[in-house]
Amino acid sequence: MNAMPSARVPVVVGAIVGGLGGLGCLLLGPATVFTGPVTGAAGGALFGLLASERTRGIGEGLIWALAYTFLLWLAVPTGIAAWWSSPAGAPCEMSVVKGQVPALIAYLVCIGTPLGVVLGAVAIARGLPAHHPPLRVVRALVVGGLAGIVGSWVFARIDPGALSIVRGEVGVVTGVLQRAGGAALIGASYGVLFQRSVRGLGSCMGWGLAYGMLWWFLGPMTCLPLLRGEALDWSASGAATHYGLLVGHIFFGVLLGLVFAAVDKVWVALFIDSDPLQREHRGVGTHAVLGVAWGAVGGLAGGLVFSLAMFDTGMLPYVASLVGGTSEWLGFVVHLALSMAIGMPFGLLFPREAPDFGSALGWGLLYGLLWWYLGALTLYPHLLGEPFDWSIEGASTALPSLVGHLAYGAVTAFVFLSLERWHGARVAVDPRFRAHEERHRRPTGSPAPALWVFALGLGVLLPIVLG
Amino acid sequence: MNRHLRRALTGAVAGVLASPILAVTTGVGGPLAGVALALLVGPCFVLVRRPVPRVAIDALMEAATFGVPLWAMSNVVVLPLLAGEEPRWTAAAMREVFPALVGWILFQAVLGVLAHALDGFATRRWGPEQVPPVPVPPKAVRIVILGGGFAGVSTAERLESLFGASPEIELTIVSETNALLFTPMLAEVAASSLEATHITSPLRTGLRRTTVVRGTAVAIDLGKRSVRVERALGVDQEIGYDHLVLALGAVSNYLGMAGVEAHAFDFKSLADAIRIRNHVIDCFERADVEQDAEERRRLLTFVIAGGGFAGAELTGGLNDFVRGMLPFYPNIPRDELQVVLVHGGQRILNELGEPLALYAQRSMARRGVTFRLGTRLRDATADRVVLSDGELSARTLVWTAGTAPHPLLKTLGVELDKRGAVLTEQTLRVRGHDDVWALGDAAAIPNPGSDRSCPPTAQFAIREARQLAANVQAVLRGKAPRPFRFSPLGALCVVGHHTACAEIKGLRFSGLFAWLMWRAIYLSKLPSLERKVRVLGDWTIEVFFPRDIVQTIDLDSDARGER
Repeated sequence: MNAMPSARVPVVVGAIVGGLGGLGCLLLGPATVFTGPVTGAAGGALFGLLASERTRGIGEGLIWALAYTFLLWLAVPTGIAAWWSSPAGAPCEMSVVKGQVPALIAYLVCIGTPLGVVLGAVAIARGLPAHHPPLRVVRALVVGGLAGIVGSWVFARIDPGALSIVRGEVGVVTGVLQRAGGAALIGASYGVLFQRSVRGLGSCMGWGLAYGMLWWFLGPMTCLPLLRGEALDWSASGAATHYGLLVGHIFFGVLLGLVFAAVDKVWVALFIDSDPLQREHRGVGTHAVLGVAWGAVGGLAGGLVFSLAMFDTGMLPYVASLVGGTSEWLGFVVHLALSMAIGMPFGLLFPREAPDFGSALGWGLLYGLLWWYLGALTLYPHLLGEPFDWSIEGASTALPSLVGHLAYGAVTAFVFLSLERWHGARVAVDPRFRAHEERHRRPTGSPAPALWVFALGLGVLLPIVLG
Repeated sequence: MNRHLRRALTGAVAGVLASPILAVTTGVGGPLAGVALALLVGPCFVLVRRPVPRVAIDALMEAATFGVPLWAMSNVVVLPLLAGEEPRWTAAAMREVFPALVGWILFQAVLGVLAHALDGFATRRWGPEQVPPVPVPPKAVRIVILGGGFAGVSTAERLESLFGASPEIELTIVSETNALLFTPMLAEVAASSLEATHITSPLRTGLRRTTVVRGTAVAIDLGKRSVRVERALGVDQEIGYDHLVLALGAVSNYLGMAGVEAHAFDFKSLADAIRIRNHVIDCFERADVEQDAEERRRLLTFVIAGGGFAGAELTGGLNDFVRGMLPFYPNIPRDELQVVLVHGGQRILNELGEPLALYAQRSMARRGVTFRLGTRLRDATADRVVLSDGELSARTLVWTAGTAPHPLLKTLGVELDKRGAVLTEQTLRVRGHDDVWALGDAAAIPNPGSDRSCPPTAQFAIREARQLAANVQAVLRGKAPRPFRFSPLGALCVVGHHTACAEIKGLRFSGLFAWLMWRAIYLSKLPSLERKVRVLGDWTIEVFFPRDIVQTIDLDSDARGER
């Protein structure tokens, strides 16, 4: 018997896994035969065809598949199927999309997650060459586990109620040990899954954000109710009830990524970069100082663009109240100062992450979205002496500044990359530096675009749909 | 076909094919509006982001990412404004245009896939995109800089900055050492306050596109436009140039005193500072076991000739160093230790105002320095220093009393001043030679508003380098060079622990404040962040621990005798 041609393997595997996942969606209720098994099998096969070149590991496969499944949900249950069943109605209407929230969760849990994991595992089993450096398992487990524990510990200090998956809600064992164990498990799995994809602090945060979102779907929306013996509630209202937990999981993920990157950087600095054969020619400090300066300039430019929305929405007097004033112009100055201050870490978090302006905008939008959650939803009320509100109502109240935050992130990243390139052109006159810069810049072909679609798409869509 | 046109067409076709999604979801202006938006966005997307061949999923995801900002820009802000309405910032208003968010994301995803497919089709049908031929760079202008001091290195750095990666020029610097020495801190190395390499900055890491030739320029042929360089192992190299920059600096001038030249330590290079430090420690080691009191006095008498900045700073630093060492040599009587500054004038530090110079003198005297003012050096032997008004028994003499421009300049056949420096125009061009430039200690540059040339200080050399580089660039671009003008900022001199004097734009400072100012200013001037951190580390260590008295090189029994 002839072996199956290698190009067909991911297509067939994708069709089987997608079909089974779709069947699961059908059995759990949110899907029909068309939107369940049929779409799952066809979509899985198409994913296998399109993404086989990119899914060379489980972590990579997971991110690509989650983003793909999100798009599949937009296209089929909320688009084609809804339009087919009601041709007279406008497609993608809010009521339709709200009604399809269970399908979204079902797609991500039953189709996207297994599809990515299985195709990634198949690629590993087939010994396909990876695009990225080999996985350092011990480093990933130790650093990831540590990051998970530290992340959950820090997070528990901020809001002990918002992190269901690691706070011992499963009802079997409770207490510190379980919390630490859960967090370490999530952290270690983060390390193993994404060690090869992440590079700097910023991308670690991005992957952490997406991973936190995934754990919201897997944890409080799915596994925890099942472990408690409760019925699944994937409806829009059920998801809205748990929206605060989503924000919590996003922050935990970001913190996890940040700690992972920090610990990993220390590990790399101590055991890898300290080797004179490996180390950066100019010293890490030089690039960091420059990055902060470029980030400040980018943040100022982003703040200026953001201020157009701030003027229009009348938010500036509220910003002025942070320093005890009420004037619009004082608010403008404070806003610019904050924009610069927030731009500075961008330079530290995202150096060499963007090979081109498109990628820079992707990272910038993600940074803007993160600051909407962190700034508008959390810090801003806190600084005004009010309790922060992570509920869906709180998110709806903060929505007017969402577009401004996205614009801020995009402009900051654009200016930052422009300055980084300008400096790179000066440095590139020396072939040693040129080679070094090229080696350290994120190559194309990483799962970063899928990450942007998944995190940005859901991060923007959910507060609008669930509200 | 032009690649931009091809991409725009690919984007337009892909956009039109995907436009039904926009037409049914944006809800503005009917299907035509959807097509118009697609025609606007499609070409722009493909112009900026050409799909990666063979990997459609990249194009799909990258394009879909921009669905969110395109929705925000168009349906939340621009389209309402065009319709004369307020932007849709609020949650309720956003929910009204929510279908467009889904539409934009799906449109972009489909656009990405279609653009990828069409790009592949175009490549198969018409071949790869036509890449414009890379322009052949013109023959590079060769700029050769002689000298690796402040003047030469600053010129190279400035030229690198001005020309960037431009292939217009080829830069070469010829230096006797492979590092730039930060001379203001040299006295601290001799006084064991700083590690020797911490005040030097390697040329090969600091300069990015300049070819560094370590060697000595031994001959310059202005007619043939070439420089002969003697490199390591006696290998000579001819280097041709189109523009030559003379930044050769100065050498010690012993005023014809052969005995002094033979027995005195020079104080110009890092090696000199290391040698002085080790010699001083060696003298202490010998004095510790020496039974003859007269010989012990000779070993413990340190004479510095010259009361300028270099001499005063070295005297102050050395005095602190040797007096700080005494507790570790219990056999050495304190009163046998002598640090003597010999100076021909009636006061030291002529570059500063009299009150500051007298302050420096008093401070040093209080800390144990002996001054022999109005006294000239006549001769020296291995154990004796002959002065105009007597003799000193000493085994250590350091010469800082005179310098002269590099002797190679005398072989050029260009106009020199009485010191032997090259006379230049105000533009730093050597008189009568359009392709030769000079600066720093090697040049006599007219100083507007003064009948004397610009002083040979690092402060001037760095500014001259900036102007010279700008003038070379101007000449290469067919513009006229501009004259050099600089008003000095002031001068600073440190003469001992927490003791310095400074004159900044007519304002005078002394004591601890001036000392802090000296450290802050020179630390900021020290090249590279790394060196700054190292020096700061050394200074911090010095606060808590005594100065290092380890001999780092093995000196022979009498270093002076071998000179």
